[in-house]
Amino acid sequence: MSKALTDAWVVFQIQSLRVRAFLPVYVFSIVIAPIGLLLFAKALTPPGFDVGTRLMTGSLVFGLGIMTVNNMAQLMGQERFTFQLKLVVTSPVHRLSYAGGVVAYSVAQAVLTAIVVLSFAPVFGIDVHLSPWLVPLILLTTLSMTGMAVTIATWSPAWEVGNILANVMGLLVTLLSPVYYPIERLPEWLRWVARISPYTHAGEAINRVLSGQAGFEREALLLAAITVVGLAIGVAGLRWREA
Amino acid sequence: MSTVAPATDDTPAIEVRGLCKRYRGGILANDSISFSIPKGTVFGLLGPNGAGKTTLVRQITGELSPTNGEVRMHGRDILRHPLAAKALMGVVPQEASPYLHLKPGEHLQLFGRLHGLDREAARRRAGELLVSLGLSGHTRVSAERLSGGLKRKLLVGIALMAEPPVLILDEPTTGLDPHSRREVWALVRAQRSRGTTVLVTTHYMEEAEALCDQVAVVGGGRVLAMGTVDELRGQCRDRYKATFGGENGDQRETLYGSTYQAVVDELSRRGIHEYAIGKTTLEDVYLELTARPLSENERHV
Repeated sequence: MSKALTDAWVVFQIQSLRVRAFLPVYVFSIVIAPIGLLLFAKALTPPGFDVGTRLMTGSLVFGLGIMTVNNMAQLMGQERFTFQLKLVVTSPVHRLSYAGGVVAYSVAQAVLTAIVVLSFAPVFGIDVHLSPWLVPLILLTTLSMTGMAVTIATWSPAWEVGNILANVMGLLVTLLSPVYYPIERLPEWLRWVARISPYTHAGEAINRVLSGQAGFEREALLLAAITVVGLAIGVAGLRWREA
Repeated sequence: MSTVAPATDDTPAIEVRGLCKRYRGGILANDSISFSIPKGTVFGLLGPNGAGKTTLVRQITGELSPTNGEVRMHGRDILRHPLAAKALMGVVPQEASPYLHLKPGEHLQLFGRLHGLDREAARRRAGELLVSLGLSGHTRVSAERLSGGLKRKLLVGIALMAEPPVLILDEPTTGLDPHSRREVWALVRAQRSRGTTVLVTTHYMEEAEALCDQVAVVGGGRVLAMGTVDELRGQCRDRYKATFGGENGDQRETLYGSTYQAVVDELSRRGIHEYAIGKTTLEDVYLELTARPLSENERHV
């Protein structure tokens, strides 16, 4: 294994050991946040509407969003502003290896979240189509969200600002992404947010797969493009050497 | 693809040439700093708060871009070949914190891997360092539960993991009790005896006297003086000092003089027969260089 990959793996291990220290909190966040969303959305749905797949899609996408955008941005901000990152910066480690390790940790958490959410489908009496395409789509969904997390963590001037931005941006994008409702319900001037939000495209693609429909390639390509642009902006802010 | 020229035996371990840092807003943190540190020596950077020591260290470790100048680590330019240069050094940054969720042994092993050790070598070396740093009684607790001094020792351990040829310690003993400080000194001496080059910044004069082959006194972003401790003493106007009980009772007074005889003569003239006399210390040199005025209990002959 090359040094760069080994370094990313070590950074992944450093992050993963957090779970041991705060296991109950991690289990709580992986289970409660998306399942809470599912319960909330189900409670708002008028009786007689068969929107189970859409509700499951929303829980999945927004659950992944909370695990990725909020948690990852706060974790990276903490490392940066409490000077833990200095230990990595002064080591012979490329910043892309560090970013790779943190992103991999976030993806691992997101995959666990997805498994938990999908395993609750029968509990809520929701019939979903479990296709192998879900695996790459969930990975792509998570990766497309990591760009926002890395960008917030690396460009924020202070830890507090990063935490506020992670929460506000996470909530804002959740509310403005038409996963639970059609985009036409949004005012015209807000639709651009929905169009560039990875949640919107992830929601569309995952809903199609869970419903057993084809034709999610365009959304998958858009998610890939958002991933590339988002991570490029985020990693550009990951300053290994201060100016 | 760039290549790194191999270092020759007479290449300095650290070479700093014309280093200058001007922050946005025009603040000049350091200016025209040049020195080279031969391999296998301990080099001390002394200076008051705000003198530019940490800025200089951060430029040397590659954390901060200089406005002008260059830094070479065993001949490798830190700006052009940062990973190759960083692979040669272990660093204890002044402000760094360990990962609070990791145990000491995990820190050492994981950062050993980041410094290129394989899993088995990292495990073995971590075991050695846990013992030599006095951390073997704390292997089951996370870093969050270590005292400030033990956290500092852990950072020193991380820097020592891969036995790098260059060790950079930015105030490594700040916050340590005297016993722990001496343990760190012993580690630095042990590293030096193995041929490691050490760059250390410190506020403690006795630390610089005890450890350093060469010292640079930094002030106002410039090197004010540089040399061995004895050479720096030689640059001091006053070579000797005597301390004695104050004429007004319990206050101690200090008398400085350029020669031993001048100090003794002045004491005799004052009718003082109980005193302690010796060479000026690095602290006296430091205070003179950094322009601290004498207090009311200190006099020149």
